[in-house]
Formats: sequence, structure tokens, C-alpha cells
Amino acid sequence: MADIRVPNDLWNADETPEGVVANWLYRDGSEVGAGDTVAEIMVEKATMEIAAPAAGRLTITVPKDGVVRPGTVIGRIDES
Amino acid sequence: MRADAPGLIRREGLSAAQALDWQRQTASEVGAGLRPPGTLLWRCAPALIVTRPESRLPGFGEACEHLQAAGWPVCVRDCGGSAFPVGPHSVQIARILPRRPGSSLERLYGCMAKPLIAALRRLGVPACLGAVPDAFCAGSRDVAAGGRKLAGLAQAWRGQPGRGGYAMITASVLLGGEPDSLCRVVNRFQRMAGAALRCRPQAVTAVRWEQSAVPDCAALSRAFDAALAEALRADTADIATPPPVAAEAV
Repeated sequence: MADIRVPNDLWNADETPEGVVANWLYRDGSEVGAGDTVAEIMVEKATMEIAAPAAGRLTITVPKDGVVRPGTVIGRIDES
Repeated sequence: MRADAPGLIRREGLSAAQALDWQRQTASEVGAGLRPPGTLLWRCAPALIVTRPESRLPGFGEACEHLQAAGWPVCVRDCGGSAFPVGPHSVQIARILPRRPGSSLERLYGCMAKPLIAALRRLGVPACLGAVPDAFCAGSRDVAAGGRKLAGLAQAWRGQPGRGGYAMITASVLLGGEPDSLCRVVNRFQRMAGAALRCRPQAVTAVRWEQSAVPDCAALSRAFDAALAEALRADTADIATPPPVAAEAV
């Protein structure tokens, strides 16, 4: 399993504690490719695309509109 | 189209939809390495620019029809935030650079805020960063004068570092316009689309109203463009220099 993680250094959590998952571009259970943009997060009027770290089946762990922080795992990729 | 500071390209006379397309296309070319990082500056006919989440509101279609008929076509942008009006009263700026490992939200906001505030101060406006909660498209990195919103900043990060991705930092600067009528347009959209968000004209100002002698709009636009070009000339190194952090952990 590979984690889909909000990058730790994307924003300073001391200044801006939280963002949200603005959209998932694939449904839960979809097959995705390594590097595919799978989600978009929104924080402080910024939208940021998040890529799949590996190819495989997507499991969404933080749904659309769910709260995220730097380092939050928002989904997983089953590579088996 | 002409460049009057390194990497600064200006366009006028486009619709908002055309300008947003031009901005996206240019950004994709910067991400792909076909163009150097740079800054776009544009003015357009009146329109209301909204976000993707707002385009999914239940009354979005009806709100668009109503505003289109009233002379305010609605366009969807890639950045975050919420609805704001554009038109001859305002100027739009976009700084675009390849998405790099280690880029951070705060650093990129600085790439826009620093030259923009410098330009506004050259015009005698005591601009500073600050939240103005009741303004349209409110954010913690609004540019304000006297506690009222003068400009809004936003970002869109598309694609991935090293694979054609780009980061775009935008600003919408109010040079003139009447806060009452601008807020009325935004509130009409929010009400009809089904959003709870409302703005107050007392939270909004414009460069024109923050100067001791009120200049005509054309002179003010020319003065702003010159001040921004000067500020960008002093700041070009910031956008061209990769951030110091070594890796973006995805």
C-alpha cells in the first residue's frame, strides 16, 4: 500500500492550520496510474493538485470537503 | 501585447473568459518549459469570476443566466476563494512559475504580495497584507488599506513538480469602481446560486478612493502599470530563484 499524503511542506500549519479536499478526480476503487492527479485540495484561496505515488487501486480515506493538514494521508493505493 | 518589465506581458480588450484561457495556456507553457516564468497583467470587460466549488451550487445555472442578462457574464477560474467582480474598474495580475519541489503557499503569496504592495505604496496608498472578513472573496492574505480590501490574492497549483506542473499566483486589484454596486453583483450571485456568503461595501475600497487627489481612471491605470513594472524590475530574482527546500514529499 502507498499513502497519498498532503506534502508536509505545502503550507505552514502554524499560520494556516487546515485545508479541505476540494475534489476527488477518481472514484473510490478506481485504478489509477503513478503520477496521475487524483485529488485537489484547497487552502487559503489556493487550489493544489495531488498525485498518486504509485499505480494501483485507489482507496479514499478523506472524502470531499474533509479537513486536511500538512502530512495528512487522504487516500491509499493498493499496488497488488 | 508588449513586455515592459522582464517577463511582464500586458493584454487588454479581451473578455474575462478569453483572458482566463490565455492565462491557463500561458501557465501550461511555463510548466512545460516552453516559456520562462513571468507575469501577466490584463484588463477586461465586466464579468463575475467564480470558483469551481461555486459552479456546483444548486442555483448556479440560474444565477449565471440572470447575471449574463445584467451584463455580468460568469466565468470559472482555477484558483480558490469565492466570487469577485472584474471589469474596467480593476486589473488582474498573474505570476506564473514551474511547480518546484519545496514550494510553499506562503513563499508564493510573497512573490505576489511584495511587488504589489510596493507598487501601491509608490502610488501613495498605505497598503498592507491583512484579512478583511466581510469583503468579497475574503482571505487572510488580502491587500488592504485602512482596514478595507483593495486587492485579493489566490493561487492555483496544477500538475506535479518536474512533470510540466506550474504554480500561478493571482491578484485582482481594485483601481476604481463603486463598492456598493460591486458588492450588489456579488451578493446577487451568491443569493441566487444558493450560497450563504455575503459581502459588505464598507469592507471594500479602491486605489482611487485611497489617494488624496482623485485622478481620472485612465491616468490611474497608467500610473499603476508603471508602478508595478518598476516593482517587478526590482523583484524579478524572487520568481526565478528555486526555493531552498530540497524535496516535496508526496
